[in-house]
Formats: sequence, C-alpha cells, structure tokens
Amino acid sequence: MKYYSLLILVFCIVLTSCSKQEINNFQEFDEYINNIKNGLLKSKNINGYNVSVVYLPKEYLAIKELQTDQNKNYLHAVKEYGEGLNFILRIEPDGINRTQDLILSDVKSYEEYKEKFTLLAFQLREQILIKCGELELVPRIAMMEPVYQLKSGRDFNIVFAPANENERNQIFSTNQIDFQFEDNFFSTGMNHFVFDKQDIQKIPTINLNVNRHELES
Amino acid sequence: MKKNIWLITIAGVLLMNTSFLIYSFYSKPKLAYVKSQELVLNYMGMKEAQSKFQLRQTQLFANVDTLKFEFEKSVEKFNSDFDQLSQQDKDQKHARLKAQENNINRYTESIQSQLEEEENQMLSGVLNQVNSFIESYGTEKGYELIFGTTNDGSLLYGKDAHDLTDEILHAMNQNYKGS
Repeated sequence: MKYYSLLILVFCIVLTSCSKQEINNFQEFDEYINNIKNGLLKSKNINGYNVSVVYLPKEYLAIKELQTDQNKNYLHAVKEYGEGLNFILRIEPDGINRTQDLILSDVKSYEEYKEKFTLLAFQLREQILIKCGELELVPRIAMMEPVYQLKSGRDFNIVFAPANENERNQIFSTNQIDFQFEDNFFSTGMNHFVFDKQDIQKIPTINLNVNRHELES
Repeated sequence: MKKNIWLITIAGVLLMNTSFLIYSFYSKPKLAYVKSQELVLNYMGMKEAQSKFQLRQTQLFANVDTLKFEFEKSVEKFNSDFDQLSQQDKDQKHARLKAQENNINRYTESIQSQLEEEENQMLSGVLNQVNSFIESYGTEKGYELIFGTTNDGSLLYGKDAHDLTDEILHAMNQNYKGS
C-alpha cells in the first residue's frame, strides 16, 4: 500500500513538472520572449555592437494593446496581429568595446549626425527583408522607437504583411523565417537571424486576466 | 620500517612530479593561428557579400554599356553621313558627340567610385564579423593569442595542431546561417 502511494506521489510530481509552462502575467511573457533559450531572440555581437532580433507573438502584442485600451477585444486583436509578422530589431553598443550612444558613435559633425538619424529613421526598411522558403518580403513598417536619451541603443519595430493569400500561405507554412539585415550604418555587414517555426509554436499557454466578457462573447 | 620510509619517499617524489607536470601543462599560454585569407575567402558571409556585389556591379555597368552602345551608333551614323553634311552641321554634330563622350566618361567614373565605396563597406562588414567572431571564440575557448597568418610572412611556421582555421571556419559558418 505504501509502495503504491509513493508511486502515485512520484507520478503526480512528474506529471506537474512535465506540464506545459504557463504565463501568468505580461512580465513573464516579456521575460519568455527575451530569453535566448526559447528561440524567439537571436543575437550577434559584431564590431562592438549587439545586434538582436526578437520575434513578437501575436498574443504578446494583443495583450500589450489591451494594457493601453481595456475596451479592445483580445481575440480580435490576436486575429489582427496574426495577419503579419512582427519583430523588434535591437542595436546597442556592447558596453565593452563601445559605450557611446548608437547615433552619436563615429559621427564627427552635426551634418553626419543628421544624415545618420534620417537614414535610420526613414530608410532602414531598405536594408531588411525576410525569407520564407522562396518568398522574400520587405517590411511594411520599419520604425525607430524614441528613447528620450534613456538608453544608448535603439529598438526598431519591423512589421511584415503578406500582400495576398499566396504570400500568406508561404509565410505560415514555412519551417524557418530568415530575417536578413544588411547593415550599412554600423559596419556589421549582412546578418541572418533564423527563427524556427517550432519555437514560435511552442509558446506557453497564456493565463492572463483579460476582459472575460470579451473572451466569452 | 626502512621499507616504509622508502615507499613514502618514492610516493612523495612521484606526487610532486605529477603536480609539477599538471601545473606546467595548464599554466602554458594557449596559442593558435588561423590562415586569414583562407578563412575569409571560405566564409559564407564573404561569399554572399561578393555575390551581391558582383550582381550590383553587373547592373550598374549594364547602364554604362547601353550608353556606350548608343554613343557608338551615333558615331557610326555621323561617319556615314559625313560627306553629305555642311561644315556647320559637321561642327555641331562633332561637338554633341564630344559632349556625349565626356558625359559617359564622367558617369563611368562616378559608377566606379560608387562601387569602390560599396566594396569597401562590404569588406569592412565582413572583416568585422570575422574579427568579432574570432575574439569571442578565443575568449570562450580560453586562448591567450590567436595569430592571423598573411602572405607577407607574419607567421613563418606553425604546427598543424595549433591551426584553428577549419574549426573556426565551421563555427563561423554555422553562426552566419543562424544555426
């Protein structure tokens, strides 16, 4: 009897430890996607800069939107964000070989600063594309986030949206998404950040306190 | 008793020797070298960058070729109509052809200058990738120094055991592909 009780106890412990991880708040979700082991963050260190790309799941974006607009329907927001692919491209000095603000580094005059800022703010999308199988897509949006001098790096919101059903099928049926960034600003060269579909699909269950009546309607 | 003292002494000497050997092994600086040219030329990042650059070069010079072809056609026509033209017409057409030739030369120079700048930018990016990777590789594997050999004799000889070229090249290509 004791033996069977012990066996059931061990079985319960194993079962609970093997169950899919849950995310219980936005901060946990943020930590999950920014943990390199989960495959949604890819990073390289080149020429004193950390260049990283984070894939943003549609659920993450929907919940982030709900934080600012409680009247939004969560499922509707998930569906909207699910139409495209969202990434953050992050470029920052590594703090060892480079410490200066990203836009000020290697700049010798106000004209150079202005040119660099304009290129980063408005022309970055020409340096980025994703490759899903045979399909190559350029971003619809490549927007630099303002930092108000709070940090030396910069984040860029990159959004890709398929133009038609055929492109949509190619994007969502591919096993890998190759995010390519050809850097002309910081001499880091051509960079490939490859995301596996299985990492995108194994995002844990979301267990957040969203507007229940919206979910159930 | 005497036998025990001998055994203890021999054991003590052996222990001291072993400790000394282990200390010598681990305190030796870890050095290696890479064949720089081989590394860079076989790096996937370099091959991709070269391929893109060649495509760009072909596209830009295709424009120049088109302009040159049109210029040659204009010169042929001028030569074939030469006898039928008045002196004034000859002078005017000659001046126009000269201007056209100068424009093509200026355009070709500007393309070459642009391509040179793009090539330098391309090479700079690739070399930064290689250098940064070797730096992080050396740090991770505990190397004190990694030499880069060049054709002008920066490293005259190195044992194959210290040649990291293939190892680093493989790791660098894996890293480039995103694996």
